Amino acid sequence: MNDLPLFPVAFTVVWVCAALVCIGMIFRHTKKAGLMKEHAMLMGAIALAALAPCTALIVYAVSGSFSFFGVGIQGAFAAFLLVGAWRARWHRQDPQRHVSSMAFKEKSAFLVLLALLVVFTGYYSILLSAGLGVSVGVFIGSVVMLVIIMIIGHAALALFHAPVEEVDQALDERDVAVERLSIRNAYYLLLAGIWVIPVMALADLSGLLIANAAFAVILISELVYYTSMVTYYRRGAI
Amino acid sequence: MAKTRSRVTNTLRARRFAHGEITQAELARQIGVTRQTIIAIEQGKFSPTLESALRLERVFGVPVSEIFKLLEDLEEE
Repeated sequence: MNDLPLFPVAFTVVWVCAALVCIGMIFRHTKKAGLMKEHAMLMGAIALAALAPCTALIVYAVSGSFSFFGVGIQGAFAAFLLVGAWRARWHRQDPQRHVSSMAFKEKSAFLVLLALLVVFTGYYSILLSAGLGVSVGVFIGSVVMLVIIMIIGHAALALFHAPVEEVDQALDERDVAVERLSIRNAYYLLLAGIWVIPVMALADLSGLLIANAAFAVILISELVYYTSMVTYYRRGAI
Repeated sequence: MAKTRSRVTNTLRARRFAHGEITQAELARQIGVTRQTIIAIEQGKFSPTLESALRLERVFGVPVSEIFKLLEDLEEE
């Protein structure tokens, strides 16, 4: 363990005390006005901002140098929550005017489409340059990255969507119609593309190559599915 | 993909305003669909199911044929 420098420790103590006072004031306010989404987000943002210098001190105590990576992530999340709180307050003050024009499911489809495109374009680019030998490691890394993008992306979408009740709304008849049409489009492609696998097996190609080709077929079907969803939501699904 | 337009037109927006300026969100709640579905119906991008059409009939107190019309019927008129 390394000795902690005095000034950062003093700053952190003052910072945390100030944050606790702010949280206490908000908490007192909620006793009168009732706990609203904006209050919860604001308290979360302040708590994260208060924890950030503590993280930096812990990292310093362990490694002997200040790393602002963890602080940066906490700060980014705090900023996200702060903007979300501001957005929630904005919507509460004028619920008729400040509503999202896109359905949450439409935004979600957009996000998944972009995430799949970015992550797996990267995956196949690496395979093309480094060879099939790195497939398994890069594939696991890509899936982890996809999951992280999905979690952070959906949290951000939910924070900025108004009204918030629409986020976990059940599928309605239009969502079902869009989904049905999108699955139909993706199914045709999957059905045609899957024939690549027996042909490659008969040609005696390597297992890794066949696995990657099979995954490419599934991936392209998924891309068609989400592209169709976005298109039907935008252009109409009759 | 070509823009999908319904062969059915509707007077939903006008009926909303005539019916005490009911909002899209409120109408959506009464019909049991999302606000965006009401927007899509008004823009002619989505045709509701028979069940929703009958619910609209109940909300506005007019027959379905007064709310929705086939474009070909309008052209004949």
